[in-house]
Amino acid sequence: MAHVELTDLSKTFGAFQALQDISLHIEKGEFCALLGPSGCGKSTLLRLIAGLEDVTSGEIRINGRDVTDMEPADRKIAMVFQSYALYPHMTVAENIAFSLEAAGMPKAPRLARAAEVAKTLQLDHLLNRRPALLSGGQRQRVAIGRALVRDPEVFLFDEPLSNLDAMLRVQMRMELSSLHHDLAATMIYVTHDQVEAMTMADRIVVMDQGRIRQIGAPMALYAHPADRFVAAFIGSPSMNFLPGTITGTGAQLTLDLGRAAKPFTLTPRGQSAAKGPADLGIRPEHATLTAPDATDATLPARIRLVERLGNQTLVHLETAAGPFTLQGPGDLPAKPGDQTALSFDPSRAHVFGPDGKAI
Amino acid sequence: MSMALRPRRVRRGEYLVAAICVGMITIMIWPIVMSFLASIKPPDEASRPPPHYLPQSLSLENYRSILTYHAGLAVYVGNSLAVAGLTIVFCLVLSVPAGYGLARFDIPGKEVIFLILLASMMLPFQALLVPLYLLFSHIGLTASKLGLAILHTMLQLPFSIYLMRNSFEGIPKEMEEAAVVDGATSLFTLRRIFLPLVMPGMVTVALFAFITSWNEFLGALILMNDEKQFTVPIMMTGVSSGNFGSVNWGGLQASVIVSILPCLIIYLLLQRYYMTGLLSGAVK
Ligand SMILES: Nc1ncnc2c1ncn2[C@@H]1O[C@H](COP(=O)(O)OP(=O)(O)O)[C@@H](O)[C@H]1O
Ligand SMILES: [Mg+2]
Repeated sequence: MAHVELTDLSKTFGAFQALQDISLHIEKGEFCALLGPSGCGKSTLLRLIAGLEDVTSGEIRINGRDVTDMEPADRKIAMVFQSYALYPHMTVAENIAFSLEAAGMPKAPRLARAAEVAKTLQLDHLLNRRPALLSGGQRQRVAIGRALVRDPEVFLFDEPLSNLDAMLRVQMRMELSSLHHDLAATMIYVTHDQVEAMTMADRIVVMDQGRIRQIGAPMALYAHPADRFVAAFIGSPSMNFLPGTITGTGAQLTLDLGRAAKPFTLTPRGQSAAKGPADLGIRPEHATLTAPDATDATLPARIRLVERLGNQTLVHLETAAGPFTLQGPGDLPAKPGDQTALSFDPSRAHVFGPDGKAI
Repeated sequence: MSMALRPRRVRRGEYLVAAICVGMITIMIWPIVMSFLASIKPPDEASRPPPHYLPQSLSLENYRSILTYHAGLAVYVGNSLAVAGLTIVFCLVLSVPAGYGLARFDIPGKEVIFLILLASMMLPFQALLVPLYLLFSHIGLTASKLGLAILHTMLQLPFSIYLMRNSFEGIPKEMEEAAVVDGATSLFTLRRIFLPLVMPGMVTVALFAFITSWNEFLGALILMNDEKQFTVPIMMTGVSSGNFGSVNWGGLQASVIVSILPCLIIYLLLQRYYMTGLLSGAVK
């Protein structure tokens, strides 16, 4: 039995369909990321699970209990809000102990419990401070402490790191991962940042326009995106898409990328293909530069811009099939204006049909 | 950072702003200073033409005379304080829940209700006085502090509700939701989260209710027809009418100064609750 079970969830705001037919099983102890662009309904889904919004149709079960019509407080969940939502007139200790206070626990034990939680988050020296005097990272920790103190079945996070600067974000990412490891708790984590989802999640749910596009482990989504949207959303820099035509089907797929290019053959892995227009998807790290007359040269290209990042180089090229970004080693020999050619590894190439689905 | 460390150069624009402020403060303080100076003249000097700005001789005679005016200053101040106190209580008791409801609940037609509430501020209060007097005399609220306090509450309520609604709306929705997830009942949330956070708004409501009630004249004059029930503004008109139609300037100015004092004291006492940034650190 899954720990959190969502069955055919839908949510409308007036005439607007925010979520449609969401079905999802999350296992006990799993770190599940809801990933998608802004406005795709991630927060709405999390708020449905929390009970802050009423579902329009469908069912939510937590640990086997039907909680669809339950009050948030009875669902044994804890939520960390994007804005932290700390109580500004209370100290760190009082903030952390708030749920215990609401439950009627006397002052001494609840403050002792808050101090205990604060210790695990390295907040013990700040117990008597007000939120206004804390740094962003410390506020974030207090918000997490407020969730921890309740010892919930499921943790819900709504973009908890989006207000932090880049350095702190990397650090908090690791801390959240180790927190998840230590607690072995079920966590549902909303983010629009694919790096956060890739680095922390056991499983990623990619969403777009109120629907689930694909569910899978981070590397599975990276290696086998089900459609063009997922392919473009996962990975940075983003996948290149080259328009072409399927000219040969069967065991080997032949793709024509235009007159300047050589036909490209690969083994299909998705649905069966028909002849006709299709896009070739190549990740920047899965292409190499080669001489225009080399046997493995597929597509002639001209270098427009070279960005050296030290450990890697980003090369922006122009081809007859459109712009292309390539990622190579830091010392990749390339300079703007060079005539060159692109070579693709067929085993790591993707083909997407006219409907966007992977072939 | 480096900007702040460098010695700050005062620009010409800042002098201009300062000059405007000083000018405005002078205009506002001037009458009070004049009142004060007149109030410490002996009574006949205060009324003698042509008036002098500075007193030629000092005397507390004016203050002594209002102290024992008819029922005595203490009675009138006591009446005013009682009415103002009741007005504050009524305004808070009504405007806090009203503001909470208007800000936080999906009440059908609440914007219309709110507009009507605000529109009542546009009606001149004098136009309502006669019907109100008739109504109050029917239900026995004339010549009572309670009646006058209700009248003052009516005057002050639309503004109070407007202010409390704004205060409640200033509290981020997520803070309330966090409390809901944490298992707080709505009453617990109101007491532990909302009320502390709208405290500056409540203080403002109380302050304005006090000032309105303390200074209100016409309603008090019409409702309070027993001399023992008079409030300070009515006493002041009594004090100012001297013998044979003359004006008792000294007594009037002394009572002006006395009537300013409570407003000033209350303002200074409550000022620290106006602290800005009470919400800072809550979100972001
Ligand atoms: N209370 C609401 N009323 C109306 N529309 C809403 C409400 N909440 C969210 N929406 C809409 O639902 C969509 C999804 O919102 P949200 O779940 O917040 O997106 P995300 O968190 O993925 O950025 C958005 O288009 C948003 O405008
Ligand atoms: Mg969101």
